[in-house]
Amino acid sequence: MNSRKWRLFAIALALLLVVPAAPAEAASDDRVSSGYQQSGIDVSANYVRDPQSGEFVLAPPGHVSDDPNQYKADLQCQVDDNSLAKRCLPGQMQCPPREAGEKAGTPVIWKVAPKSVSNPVWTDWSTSGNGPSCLYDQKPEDLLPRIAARIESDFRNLPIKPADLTAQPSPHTLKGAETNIFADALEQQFEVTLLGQRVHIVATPVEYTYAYGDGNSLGPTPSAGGPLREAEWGQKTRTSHVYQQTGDFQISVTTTFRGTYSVNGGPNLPIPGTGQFASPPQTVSVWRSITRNYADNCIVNPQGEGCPGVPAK
Amino acid sequence: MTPPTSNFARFFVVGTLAAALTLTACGSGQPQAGQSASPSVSASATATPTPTPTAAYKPADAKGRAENVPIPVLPEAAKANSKEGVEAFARYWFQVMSYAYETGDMAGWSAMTSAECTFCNRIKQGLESAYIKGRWIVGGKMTTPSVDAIFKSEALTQQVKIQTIQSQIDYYDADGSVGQTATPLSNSASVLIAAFESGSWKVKDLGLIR
Repeated sequence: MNSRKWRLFAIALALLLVVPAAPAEAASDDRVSSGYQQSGIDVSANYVRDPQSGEFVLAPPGHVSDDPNQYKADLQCQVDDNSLAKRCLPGQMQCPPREAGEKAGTPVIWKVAPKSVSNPVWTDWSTSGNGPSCLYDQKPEDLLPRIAARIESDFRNLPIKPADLTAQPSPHTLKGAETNIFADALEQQFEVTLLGQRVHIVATPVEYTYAYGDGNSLGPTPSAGGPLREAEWGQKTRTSHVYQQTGDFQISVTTTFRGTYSVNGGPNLPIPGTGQFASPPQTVSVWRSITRNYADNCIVNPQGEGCPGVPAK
Repeated sequence: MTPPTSNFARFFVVGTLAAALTLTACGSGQPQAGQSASPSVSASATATPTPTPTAAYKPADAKGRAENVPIPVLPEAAKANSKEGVEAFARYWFQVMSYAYETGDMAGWSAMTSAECTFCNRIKQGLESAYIKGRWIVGGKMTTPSVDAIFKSEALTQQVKIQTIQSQIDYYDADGSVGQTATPLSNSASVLIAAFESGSWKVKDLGLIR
């Protein structure tokens, strides 16, 4: 007995001696970004400004912020508001006319700064492969406000595909039971031409409003819901509904999309406001079910209710 | 009889002036394109009027770590329990963080930082990973162009809103190879929560303003 304990101890000790070498080796793959901002993002160290007190408070868990940055486009060779660096001009990006008869474009550098700082220091905005880009207009400095003024209405008129709507079970469901209704919408991307610029728009579904057709509705809610396996039909979900009446009902969903736009490969700028896109309604038939108990089967009692050849009551 | 502090102050002023003169002298030759002015830390630290020749500062590069990096000195203003005091402290705290990015030495920075600050702990973890096993980084310099405290004298902690810019970080392994993908320049707004405890400021928490 005693010797066995010792043997176990020896094995444990051997394991202890062997194991520590492993984490040291593993650490070589354990690289993390050392960047200041990335570190804060990694641990969700997010603060938001409380508009009432003007102080900063910890953002609630799961807080989804808008883009915290602001952007502007500066002429590539601009050194301050009024002057251009002459030396920079020969080396600047070429923006030849894109079509015959069109004027040449103006090379610009996109700048970024945090929104919450007044009079911030701007730094070059770039992601890999993005250097200067071209704007095509007589007055490129006025162009962005003009695009911004139009983008909201243009966004609302995009051919955005609304959500697919599904009910489970369907087309027939039961009164008093949970009918699972869910939406399925996708992020969509569009290339449009606005004031002569190539504008890339990304539309993202953010909220859903369900109308169940019996006067009840749900939302707007960020929950799109989701499918249940057939064995789970009748379970309550975040978007399910219980019909209290029988009959045919038109169910529908309106999806709210939020968008961002990027001009000639510049940064993604938020589109103010949202766009609402309704899905075509679908019909569900709500039936009632009646449970009756019988003592006999149809062999014992061939005239019993529901037996072959017996008229329904 | 003058108190020793005023002597120090005079030295400091002379030193800073000298540094400023040298900087202008260098700068006048070449019209500089929109580069940010070099921060006062390095200027005042290199200008310490010591008679003994100190080893020259060498920034980190692809060949090796930085050498003889001047240690930021806590400014007198940062010792006051006031709006200006906590703002001076916040600038200093980021200078020391920048020093830690340049050297991997986090001792001074940690001493002013609460262990409960999650963001700070993540920065420490990132720096440890960047400097273990002979690794080093180039860049990562922190600058704070805008520092603004919401000072409430009766409050236990004070909030400072800071624009925090960090230059690109390149990572190198002991053998000189590139360790991992570079971290691009970042430009963010941060809030620093500081408390004045037994005569000095300490960082309680840090966050990104979202």
